[in-house]
Amino acid sequence: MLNEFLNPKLVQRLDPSPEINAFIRSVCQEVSADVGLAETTLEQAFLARMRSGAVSTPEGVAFLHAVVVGAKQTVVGCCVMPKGLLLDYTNPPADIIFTLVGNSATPWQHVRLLARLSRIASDAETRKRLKSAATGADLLAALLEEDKRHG
Amino acid sequence: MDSAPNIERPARDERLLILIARTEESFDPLVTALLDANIQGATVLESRGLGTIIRSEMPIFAGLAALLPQSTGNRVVLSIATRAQIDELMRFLSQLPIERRPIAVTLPLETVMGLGL
Repeated sequence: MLNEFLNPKLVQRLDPSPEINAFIRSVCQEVSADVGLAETTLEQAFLARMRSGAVSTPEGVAFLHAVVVGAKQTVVGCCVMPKGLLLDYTNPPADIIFTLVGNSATPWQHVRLLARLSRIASDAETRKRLKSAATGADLLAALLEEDKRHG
Repeated sequence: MDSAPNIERPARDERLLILIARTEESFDPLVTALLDANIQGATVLESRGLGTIIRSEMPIFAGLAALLPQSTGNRVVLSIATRAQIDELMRFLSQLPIERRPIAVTLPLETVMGLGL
C-alpha cells in the first residue's frame, strides 16, 4: 500500500534534528512538484493542521499531515530523528515523523493511509526497527517491510 | 395504498459486522484496522459486558469481583462490509496481541434500508 505513495526523498534519517520550520519548509519544497502546489500553500496547510491540535503521540510518533484542494497526488514521507523534534507541548519530542499530503477530494484515502501508518507505528518493536535504520535507504526498506507485515 | 418501502437487497457479499472491544486500550487498534480495511462507516455503541454488570449492579454476586474480568464489552461496533473488507479486517485484527483482539462476528444480510445517506 505505502509504496504507491512514499517519496524516497522524504524518507530520511536526520541527525541532528532540524529546526521545526526549516523541516516543514524542506518537506514542502520536496512535495511541491509532486502535488503541483506552491510551497507556501503546503506550508500553510501543515501549520493550520498543527494549530488545530496535537500531531504527535505519547510514544514519540508524529503524523504531520494536510489535505489540500487540488493536490495532484498523495505523497507520504517518514523521518527518523534520534534527538527528536518537539511538535506540540502535550507530548514528548517525536523521533519518528510521518509526513503526508493528500487531496481534499479523496479524504478517505488520506484517512486510510493515516490508519495504516498508525497501525505500523503502534507496535513498539516496529518503532525500534524504524529508529535503528542507519540511512534513508535503510529506513525506506524497513518501512516497506513493515507495511507488508501490516498489510 | 402506500408505495412499497425503500428496502434494498444488499450486494451478495455484504455482511453485518459486529465487533466488541473488551477494553478502552483495544478500541484504538480496532478503529485503525477498520479504516485501513477501507470500512468507511460504522456505528459505535458504548457498552458493558455481563461481568461488569454483575460486578457493579448485582449485590448477590458481591465477593466474586476478584474472579470476574476487570472490564468487559467496552464498545460495540456495527457495520456493513463486503467479504473482502471483512477478510482484510480479520487479517489485521489477527495480528494484534491476543488481549487486544476484539470479539468479532459476521452475519449474512437479508435486507437493508437507509444506507448511503
